[in-house]
Amino acid sequence: MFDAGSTKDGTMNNTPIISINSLSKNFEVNSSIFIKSKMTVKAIDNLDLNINKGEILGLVGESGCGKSTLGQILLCLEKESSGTVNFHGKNILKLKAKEVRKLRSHMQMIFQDPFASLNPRNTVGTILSEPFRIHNKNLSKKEVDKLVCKLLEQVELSPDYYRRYPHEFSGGQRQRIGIARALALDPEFVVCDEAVSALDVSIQAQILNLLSELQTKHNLTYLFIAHDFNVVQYMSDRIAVMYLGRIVELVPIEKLDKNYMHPYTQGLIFSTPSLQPTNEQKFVIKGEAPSSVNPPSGCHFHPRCKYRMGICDKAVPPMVEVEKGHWIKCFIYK
Amino acid sequence: MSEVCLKVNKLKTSFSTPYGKVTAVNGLDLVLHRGEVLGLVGESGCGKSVSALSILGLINSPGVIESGQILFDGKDLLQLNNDELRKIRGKKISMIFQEPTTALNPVYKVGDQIAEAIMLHQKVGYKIALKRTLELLSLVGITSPEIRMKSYPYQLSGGMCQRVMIAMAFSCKPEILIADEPTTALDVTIQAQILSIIQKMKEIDKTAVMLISHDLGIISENADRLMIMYLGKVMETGKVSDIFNNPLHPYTRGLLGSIPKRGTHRKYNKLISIPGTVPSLINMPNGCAINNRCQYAVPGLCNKKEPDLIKYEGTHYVRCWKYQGWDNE
Amino acid sequence: MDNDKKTSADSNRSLKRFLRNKFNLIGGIIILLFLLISIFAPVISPHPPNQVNLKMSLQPPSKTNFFGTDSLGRDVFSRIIHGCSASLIVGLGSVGFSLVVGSFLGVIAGYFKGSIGIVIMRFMDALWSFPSIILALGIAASIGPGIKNIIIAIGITFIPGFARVIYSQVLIVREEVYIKAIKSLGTKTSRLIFWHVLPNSITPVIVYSSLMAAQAVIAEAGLSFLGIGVIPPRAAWGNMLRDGYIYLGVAPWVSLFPGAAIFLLVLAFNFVGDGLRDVLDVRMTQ
Repeated sequence: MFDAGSTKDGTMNNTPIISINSLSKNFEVNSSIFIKSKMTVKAIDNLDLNINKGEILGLVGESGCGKSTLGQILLCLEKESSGTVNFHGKNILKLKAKEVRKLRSHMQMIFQDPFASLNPRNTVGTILSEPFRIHNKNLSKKEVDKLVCKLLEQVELSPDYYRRYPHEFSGGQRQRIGIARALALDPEFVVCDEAVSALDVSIQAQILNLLSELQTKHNLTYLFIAHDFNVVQYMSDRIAVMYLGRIVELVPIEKLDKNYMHPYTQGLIFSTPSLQPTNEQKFVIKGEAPSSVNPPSGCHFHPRCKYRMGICDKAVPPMVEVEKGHWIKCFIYK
Repeated sequence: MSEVCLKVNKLKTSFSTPYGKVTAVNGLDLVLHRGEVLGLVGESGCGKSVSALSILGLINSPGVIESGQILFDGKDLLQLNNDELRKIRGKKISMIFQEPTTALNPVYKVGDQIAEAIMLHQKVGYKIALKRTLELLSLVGITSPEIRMKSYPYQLSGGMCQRVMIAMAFSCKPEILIADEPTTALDVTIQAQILSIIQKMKEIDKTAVMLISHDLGIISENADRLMIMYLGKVMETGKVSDIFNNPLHPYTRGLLGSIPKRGTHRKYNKLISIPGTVPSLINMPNGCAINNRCQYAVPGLCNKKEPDLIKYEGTHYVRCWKYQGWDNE
Repeated sequence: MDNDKKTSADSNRSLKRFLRNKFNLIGGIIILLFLLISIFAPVISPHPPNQVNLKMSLQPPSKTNFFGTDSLGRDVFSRIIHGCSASLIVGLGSVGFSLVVGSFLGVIAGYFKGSIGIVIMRFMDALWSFPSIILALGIAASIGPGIKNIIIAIGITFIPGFARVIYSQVLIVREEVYIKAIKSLGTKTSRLIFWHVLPNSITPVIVYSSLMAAQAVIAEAGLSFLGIGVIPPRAAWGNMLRDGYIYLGVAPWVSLFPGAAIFLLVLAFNFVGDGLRDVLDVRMTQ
């Protein structure tokens, strides 16, 4: 594994909690109802990645790069096409339905849209007692209520909200409910799939602070998926940059250096608006991300890359460790 | 300062809902100069989009513009009838929207849609309109425009569609462009491209641009002046450099502190967030709109009486008791 | 937790909202009226419904017989009052039957898509492609007349409609993020389907069922008219319509009044249908 235990951060435990090996996910798209020619979309293309215990791994990329699909496969909400995902050394992709249900108490997800991820017909109390009802059947109603109220307090919501419906809450409050639900069963690993991107800025900061506090308090491991580079960089211990189904760069946060990175990461950073208006020339990536139905040959990024060389459209660059823990998939660094 | 091309005085737009009247924009004053980019920033429900729609006269029932003036070209747009407004819309004031793919009619070719806009306002034939369309499309950075103009909207990506919208918006060399969250639905790399095209087009025609966004980063990089809105009111306004270097209003400071900055990390810099949530417009707080979320709020003043938008220095205005003098009773 | 308090407060608010609309109010009042009539039929009807008096045959409306008499001299007004229960029972019963069966099939087909879904929905299509009145006729003819059998006959013809409506709704709801979120908690599939997917898909079905209740009343009238509905001499609006049909020229009141009653009930069901949708949406309870 190219990145196993490679983060050199003294505070961090370097045992991988999740290790992903040559994971691929293909979607079959019917090009037409009449002609039986199927096109394959490679949402995830032979991906390797380790997630270490207690770290926040940021996964950043543009829409359609496969970052959400990856999160869903890790939680067995999507089926993989090939490859393995080991959780504490055990391949979870081959589990039976019953075992998967048990696994849910260890792995949870926080969803992007707080307006869509809560059942509109259930009260907050019902939504939050659902996990206990599934996994701790022998708890009495009173005990469950107590746990739910504790959860609400944990995400800084008043227990009085118990009997309200999701539509009575603002986006930020709903996201807190979503977080409370994910944390109900004390999971080890949480996928935050664009957990703050639907929120207003002032609320986004509250939720980021909350997620950060909860992570420290419960020693959680996050896969933090987002499209906003500034947010990912603020939250994460390591950043994985994804482009059309492949991870093109994996970098510990302290080694993030704009002179020493994948050209796509560089473009991504410069395209992200920042509050400090600088005089540096804005470097705009040309063109649009190609469709993953028919991705460019070789390095997927070569048609938009300003450093492209002759080899870039012929071969897929290998992942190279340019310094300890810092991996780049680009021929420049080979 | 160059010539003024739009002046809005005391604009008030409200909506009637089953739960009571909601004032989305409450006493907005705004001046737009030729060739400048004015940023309108705020969180959801602050009235930034409603302000833009009011200017174009696109407020539909149950919304109504209650009072105010919108002065453009020596006329008050609120006094014009529909026909007169239509001649201004699209020709002198044009708009681009957040969802470019839904803003284009799916059953017509994009080239024809732009050509139609040109023919509508410029009294030219189809051939000339098409020629002009071709120029516009290449101007907004669409490669091989001859082919692209024959495509239908669904065949183009979101970024392409937004380019088409920009081409259409600039087809009649408008005096004012209103861009309502033009890049919110797009990826960052495309966002950067679209924003630089808007800047370029603005330079060519010396258009005044009203850029509406929730993203302070976009505003700081693209606007000359900005207005920070909250619950239908302007809280602070001024030059971008003034506000970002010296934010006065507690709300502005909160917003700036809420955004993760490049090079900061949760381990070392906690985000300064604004407590609480944006109240719904139905339950507006008394006094200053933000007093229930403001750590400096003075009980008995801020929750009783609303401060005015007062001049701090130059073009920098702020609406806060802290700068109006606490004892100004 | 005293959830009851909340629920009753909720239903109160829903009721208020329901009654705010005039059409709902009118529809609701008419249905309530018909319900009361069918419960208290023996008390309020001036004459026994099956009392034959050939001397009084085909009398026009008068003080003693408000709606006149039929060919056997029975009081039309009393028969309408007694026939009310048959129409209501058939209308609500057949809809209830097809609602339960159709929703079950639809939700299973929609949730599992795949081969189960295909088999169920193709079967529904086949059932649907049959002209419904002929299908009902066939079923009623094979299992015999009588109220229970009519309910089954009409109910079966309605099943494909219900299944389709809920199927299309489930296809949308099953992709909702909250369903995925609940699934990620480890919920059992059966609970997921019947506790989470179904309640979120049911609203259009409820609205549809009020419209179909109206259809059922008409279908009952039709079947009775054709002679395989409610067994005479028991009064039902449909068989009354048939009885009067021959005398339409000389004694129009015999079929006119049952016809008007059918019209009124169908109208009331239609009125109520739209109102139900608003009431059933929790999101509007604020």
